[in-house]
Amino acid sequence: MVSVNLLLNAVVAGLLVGGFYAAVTLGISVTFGLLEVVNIAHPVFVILGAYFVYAANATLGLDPLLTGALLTPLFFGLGVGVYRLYYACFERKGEEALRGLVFFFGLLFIVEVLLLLRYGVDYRLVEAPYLGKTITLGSVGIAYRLLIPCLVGVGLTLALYFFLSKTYYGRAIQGVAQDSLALRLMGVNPVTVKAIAFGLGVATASLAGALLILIGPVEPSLGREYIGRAFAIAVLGGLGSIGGTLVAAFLLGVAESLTATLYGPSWALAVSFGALLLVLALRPSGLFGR
Amino acid sequence: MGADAEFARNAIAGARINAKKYGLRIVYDNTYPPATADFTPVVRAIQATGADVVFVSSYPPDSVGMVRAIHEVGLRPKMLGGGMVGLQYAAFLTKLGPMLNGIVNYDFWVPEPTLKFPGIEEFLKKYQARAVQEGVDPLGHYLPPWAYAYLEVLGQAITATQSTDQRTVGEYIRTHSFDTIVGRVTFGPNGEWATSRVLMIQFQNIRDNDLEQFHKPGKRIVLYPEKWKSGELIYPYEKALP
Repeated sequence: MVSVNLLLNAVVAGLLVGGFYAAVTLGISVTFGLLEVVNIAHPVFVILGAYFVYAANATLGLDPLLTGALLTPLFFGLGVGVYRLYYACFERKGEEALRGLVFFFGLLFIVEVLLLLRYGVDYRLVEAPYLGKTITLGSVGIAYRLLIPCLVGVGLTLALYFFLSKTYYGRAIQGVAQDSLALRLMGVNPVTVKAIAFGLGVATASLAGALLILIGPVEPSLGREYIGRAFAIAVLGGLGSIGGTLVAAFLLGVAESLTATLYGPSWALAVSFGALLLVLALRPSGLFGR
Repeated sequence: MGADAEFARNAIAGARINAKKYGLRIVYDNTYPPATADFTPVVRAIQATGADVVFVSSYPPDSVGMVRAIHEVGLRPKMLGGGMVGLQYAAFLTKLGPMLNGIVNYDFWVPEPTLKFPGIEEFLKKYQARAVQEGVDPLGHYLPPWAYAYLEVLGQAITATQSTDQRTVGEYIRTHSFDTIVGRVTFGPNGEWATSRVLMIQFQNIRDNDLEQFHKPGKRIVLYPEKWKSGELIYPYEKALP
């Protein structure tokens, strides 16, 4: 029986999971949306982050979120390194279109295989005191397992938004996205700016990985399941629009949740991608794209 | 409710047949796609139907998501469980702990007195010592005993026939019984076990997240097959909760 209570809970559940989707997508919004680098390997960086978090939790008992935050500089460095390699091998030679895509596919599989060799195919989970707890606001139940990833996702989006709009490097990244030649003429090295932006995108993956393993168990190939959804959110929000990414993630989360509640979860993805196609037909640049 | 994948779809098909056989009205029948991050909308939708029996056929990450969502939402049917893969592994048993109480699920071997066949203790002792070093499931109750038993059957058949010819060995396996660490194995004309040995167990009296408790009897009670039954079903589901 469909009731207001059921609908309200479905909307809240959608918003909660949408916040998490935003965290997973932010890196793609930066690398694909702003830099036009088809970083299809981004979800595997999220999985890598999840495994680092798992290892720290299992061996040292560290809090997953804390570990995710502590790992961001490491992932930033990893991102800078990956971009430098990509630039040297493909972008500099103008071969980034197809070969660059293959490079990121290869990277995805290499990281997956390394994780498989180290951790095997078993699913890994973490322990945290807030997992399993729920707060009730009126007739709406909110699980900490979903609330925390949502809040962190929103916080991460805001932090990235303010960094890109208010800081020198942030504006430089937006500049390189619009006209890298103009940036070069002003004495700024676009490759360095792009490397910083790419590093920033990958750095979000360590926190997103922590959120992912808070929500559920992970295994090395899980990242592939998120490729389609994350790129869809980035496109729906408008390429390069950080605020748009959050709005699109919420929309997709709510659409999936309502569909799952009212018509069954098997229709959830179809409705989400149907909505994406509809939006793109009416507004090809996405909801907030220029 | 089950995953949109082969195993889960087959299990759900069986559940539909059994529901019809026992005159149960199906009030919710759905599958979910891979990488479903949150199961609370699904569990709320099931809750809204007021279902008495909830059959779940899921893969490991989804099983964890479902169990957590069931507790977060407060779903309290009269019976819950079915074909939830993953709830046999030590990692999930310890992480979910008391949330597992009351769930009736399939399993292959559990440390209940009715399943203490000759050789199983020695096998597990040897396996568990290696498992820790190798970083695999430290309990090894789920698949390893059956995997070992398969090779026992093959070994006994080869020894008896003094042959490795597949037809000869196959014929011997089809027409003889074998004593293994999971009990006496006899195959029927269709190639399956003559009597099904897939267990239905109920999680009971799980108090915390300690691994040690799962080495002992009394936590995963065998309900079916009748021959190996080790305790009674706690019914309804809510009664088994702490």
